[in-house]
Amino acid sequence: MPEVHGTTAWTVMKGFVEEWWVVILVLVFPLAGFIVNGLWGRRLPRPIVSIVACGSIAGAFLASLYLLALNIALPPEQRSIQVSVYPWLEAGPIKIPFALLFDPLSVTMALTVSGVSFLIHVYSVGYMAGDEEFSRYFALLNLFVFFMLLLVLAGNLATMFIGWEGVGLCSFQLISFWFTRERAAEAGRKAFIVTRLGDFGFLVAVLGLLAIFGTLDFGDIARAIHENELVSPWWGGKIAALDALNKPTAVGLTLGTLICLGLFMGAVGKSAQFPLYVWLPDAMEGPTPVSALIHAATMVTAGVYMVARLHFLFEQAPLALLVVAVIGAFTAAYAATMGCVENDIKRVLAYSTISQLGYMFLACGLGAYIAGIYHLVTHAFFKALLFLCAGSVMHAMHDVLDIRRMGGLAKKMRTTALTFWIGGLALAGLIPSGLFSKDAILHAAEKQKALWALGLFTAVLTAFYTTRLGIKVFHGKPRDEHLHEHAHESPDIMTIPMILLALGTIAVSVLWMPAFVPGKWAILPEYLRAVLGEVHEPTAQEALHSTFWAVGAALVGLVVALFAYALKPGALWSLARVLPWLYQLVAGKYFVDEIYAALITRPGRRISEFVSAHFDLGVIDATVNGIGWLTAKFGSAVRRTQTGFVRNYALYFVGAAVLLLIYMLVRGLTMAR
Amino acid sequence: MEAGIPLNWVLALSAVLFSLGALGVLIKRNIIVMFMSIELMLNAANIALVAFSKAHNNLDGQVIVFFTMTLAAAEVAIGLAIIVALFRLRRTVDADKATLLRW
Amino acid sequence: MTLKVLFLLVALGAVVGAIGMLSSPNPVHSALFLVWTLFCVAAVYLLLGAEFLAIVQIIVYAGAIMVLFLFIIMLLNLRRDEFGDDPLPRQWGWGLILSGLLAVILISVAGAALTLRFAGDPLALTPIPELARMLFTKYLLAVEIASLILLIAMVGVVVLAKRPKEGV
Repeated sequence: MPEVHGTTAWTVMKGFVEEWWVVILVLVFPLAGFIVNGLWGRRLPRPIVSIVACGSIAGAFLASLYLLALNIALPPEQRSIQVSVYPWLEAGPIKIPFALLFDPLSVTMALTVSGVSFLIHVYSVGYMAGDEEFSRYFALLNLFVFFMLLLVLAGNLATMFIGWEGVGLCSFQLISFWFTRERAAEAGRKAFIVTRLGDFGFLVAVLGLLAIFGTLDFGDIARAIHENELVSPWWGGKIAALDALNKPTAVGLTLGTLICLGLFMGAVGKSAQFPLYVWLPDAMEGPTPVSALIHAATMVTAGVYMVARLHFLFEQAPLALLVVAVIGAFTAAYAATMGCVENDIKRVLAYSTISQLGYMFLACGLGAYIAGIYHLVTHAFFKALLFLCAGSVMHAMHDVLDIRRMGGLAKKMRTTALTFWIGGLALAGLIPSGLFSKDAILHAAEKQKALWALGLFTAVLTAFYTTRLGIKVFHGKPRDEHLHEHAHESPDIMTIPMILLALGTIAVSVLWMPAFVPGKWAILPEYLRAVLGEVHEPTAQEALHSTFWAVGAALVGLVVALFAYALKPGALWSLARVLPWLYQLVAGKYFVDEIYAALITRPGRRISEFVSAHFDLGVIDATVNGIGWLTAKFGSAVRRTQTGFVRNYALYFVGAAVLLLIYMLVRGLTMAR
Repeated sequence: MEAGIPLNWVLALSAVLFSLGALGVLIKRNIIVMFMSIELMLNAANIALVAFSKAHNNLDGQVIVFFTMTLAAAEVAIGLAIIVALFRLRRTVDADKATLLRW
Repeated sequence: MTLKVLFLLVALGAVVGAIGMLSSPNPVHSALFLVWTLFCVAAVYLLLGAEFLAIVQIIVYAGAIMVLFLFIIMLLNLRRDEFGDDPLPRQWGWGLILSGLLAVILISVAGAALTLRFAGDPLALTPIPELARMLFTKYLLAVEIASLILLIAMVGVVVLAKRPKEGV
């Protein structure tokens, strides 16, 4: 069983802060941006659309900053404040308000989301400059930010679910933003359907929690579990909360474990973990800033956030935590191997996203929630940065994505190359902040040797594919002279956000540095402690030890990649020749898509075709058409009565009156008798 | 009280006049005469109202007759205006010529 | 007894006038027959002691409404009805059957009223001040609405009868 880093006594004040409206303000800004751009965007000039879109996110960011200031001003144990905006679903004893929660965790998330989003919005102004659907893009982007902020600021699972599904919807819309392209439309559908699979588990788990606790409030559930309160589950009676969660079920797992696995199923779908990761690489069909925002920095981290938010629940189900850790570690390594052979610049980054999310789940599964959240924050910066760099490269290369046709771009795109390397090295875990956050996770994994080994292996691969990507794109000889000649650096509106993100990548490391760094650098753990529990802070010795291993692993990958792609290009082909089946397997992405197609998609399609041909056409359509046919027949039969002669109508009228009179007379006579 | 008119006589007159009015609406082709028949039917109803008013020694019935007359005046004015408009369009007062609205 | 005879005579006059209205092929004659019938109805009112209504009947119906009818008939310059072939040949038969049935039913209902007698003095006249008080107290709202309807009718007639502008 993984070690849990401290237990948590998390209390939520259901009190009142005078400035509670700030929490709502954080949400109102992006929503207002969406409404303005969504309704009137087509008629507004582009500069106004851009200002509205970026301004609303800037407003949300400033409001989040104010929220942080408010939150810090409170004593640490009173920093969790729930705001019930209005009663939403009320049925008998069940009362589900539309509730917002602001506590250190949600404030951290809101700041990260709004901050990174703002920079990506600014970048998008340049990136989407030539697009026909400028306003739709920004409207959707604002809506996405709104839902994401709603997700992280939600005070109960029902409110969270709105944000959860909302970001899914926006993701679908934005992946298939260029819906006239067949591939984009398909990728959007795929993302939507695959994540729905996970959402199903999530919803079932949420309903399970409601059935047990009678509430979906994070604070109430946490208190019930922590103080082992009596609850009234649906099977009747009163029972202590922990006993209810430990109730065995027919499948051999406890109820709590099942609920946690259901929640994790939602996280697996949304955060693209094995086996539901397949939608994320395809999601790269969307505009690149969308990939940066949704499919790297924010939305995909929702699963990690949710697990951390509900950690008090997962801690009651150690088996579920183990599953989280194992799936996370496995996905991290698994996705990294595919990243090593992928030739599409954005897909390499997509696989690395899946891999890094795996790290975060590994941390959460091990109980190192703060390490997971820390990696989430740093990853948001450097992965957004890497995607923006990729977008900048695409901009220069006229939307070519294949890294085999690039090369030597560093000379033409100095800023892009420099910022890319900052992001890349952070991703590889060689420079802060990626170095520190990954170390924190690997340190937490040290006691679980198998998971630790997988983590280190992933670190090697991460460094390898990042270096490979950087070298192939920015260095060496240009492989396509024509493309290379037309390459140019992107405009300032794109490079400035990249520079800011690069600075942010490094700056964010001050939040938490390992113990061997002089001075005390533990702002984030100190701040999140009230929610996520004490951190088992390693000594300088231990920290140095784990950093040694992590950096060593990353250096191995870096050196191999340098050797194989910079010094002796083609060296790895001999490896591919020696082990052709291995290369085929990895390059074919383990044929997971094909397996899913054979096992699920094709049978599903066949069933659907059968139902559509027989049941839909034969029964439903036939019924509907039959009713229509009958109505038409009846109508053409009785329309003959409409002769147009007033005297005829008068005749019907008098005839009916006479019949009515006869009826009344007969009735009166029988009644009188 | 045998000196007065029996109530059922008055009601029978009302019934006969009403039926004659209905007959007129059914068989006359001149739209103006159809309209007159409607007036006859209204009058038949008025007779019944007055008769019952007297029978119950209650003035409400007579007030309603008064209103009927008022509205009949309005109705005739509008109806005749419509007939004039129709005549302008069709150059006839034959009700059977205005049969555009049909299947 | 005198009252009964008088009523029978007046009733006969009304029915004859109605039949004459239906049977005359000339609308002017029809209108004049109807005026006669309306006079007879006024006489029925008088016999029932409703002298106010009898006078109103003569002024409004025979005086105003029927004059309007005659005025329109003359405006449209109508003579004998000559409409050509009847498109609804069976209308006569149905009309007679239905109105006959109607008459039978209504008269049989009237027969059911045999037991009901006039209350009070049959010769007593309607107290007109009482009628006026009811009109302006209990039925005040109805009076106002009726006046409004008359106004609307007036405006409506002007709109309907106005010659449409060219090209509209």
